[in-house]
Amino acid sequence: MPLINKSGFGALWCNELSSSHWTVSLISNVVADTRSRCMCKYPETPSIGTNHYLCKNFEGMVFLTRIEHFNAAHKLVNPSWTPEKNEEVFGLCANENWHGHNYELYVTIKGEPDPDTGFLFDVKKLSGIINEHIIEKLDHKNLNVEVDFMVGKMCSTENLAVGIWNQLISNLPGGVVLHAVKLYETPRIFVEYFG
Amino acid sequence: MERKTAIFRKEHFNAAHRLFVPGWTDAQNLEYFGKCSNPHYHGHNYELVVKVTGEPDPLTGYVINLSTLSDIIQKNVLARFDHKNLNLDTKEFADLNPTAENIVYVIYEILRKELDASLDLSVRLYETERNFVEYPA
Repeated sequence: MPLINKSGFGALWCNELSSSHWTVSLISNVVADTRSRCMCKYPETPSIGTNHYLCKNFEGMVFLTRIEHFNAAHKLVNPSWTPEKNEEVFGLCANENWHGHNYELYVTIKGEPDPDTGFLFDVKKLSGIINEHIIEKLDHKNLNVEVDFMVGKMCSTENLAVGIWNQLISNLPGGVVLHAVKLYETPRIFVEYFG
Repeated sequence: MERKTAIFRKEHFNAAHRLFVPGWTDAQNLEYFGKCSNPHYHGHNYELVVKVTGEPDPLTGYVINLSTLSDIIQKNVLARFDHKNLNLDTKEFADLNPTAENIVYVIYEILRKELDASLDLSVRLYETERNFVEYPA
């Protein structure tokens, strides 16, 4: 498959690759995917969405993703604004009595597999860390009032992804390199954070 | 020639809720409903599948105009439940536990009144990808 970008062709190729990557993710829940031959011809191109994988030199690296999910209530309200302004900016999401979502969380680490185990990191341990430090704090909770690492922050999906990243960075063992946090608020809305 | 045909419309809404029996203690509710009884609420992306069955009109070929069906669902279901707290913001669940079973029944009853009596109706509601209900059974 050609890697040269001609009038956006490369971007299409990137999208094809990344969508197949995530399709596999959904089936297996855990994905190890080499990107050793993926060299972006336009390294200055801003990385957009999952194309990020392909726009840096990740030669020899493996990416491992664990998918988890949680259900939570939240609202988008800036406490220093009037109710009218909150409704104007956030619309239905500003409902004072909350609404909620089924969130899907993709945590991706990167590196080279250990020569003895073949593992980047034991995915059961990764899952345990995500569950202990993220899912137990968020699942079936009200994100605005019950989550210590979101106190005082706007509960947008963007801020939640950054909060999850920071929680993970603090709790992953040395040598495990976090690559991305991808968080779906709905099947059609997601954010990605690369630290 | 009879050729009953089913036509489906998918919609979605996001809502907060809490499962509890008002006469029970918090401990009893927690024991029975688990995390779903959290007094601060939690929420879901609900996926709604509405199935309408009938004879296609010989002239138009339609069982029901999907645009009309979508408008009916939008006006009567989504406008009531989307981005709402089902326990606090809706009259339907002021005194009814908003389980998936009860939500699907309420939606069925709402839509049944809006559709021609010659059409059969069935409603499927996904609370999560893996938890869903259907009425009538």
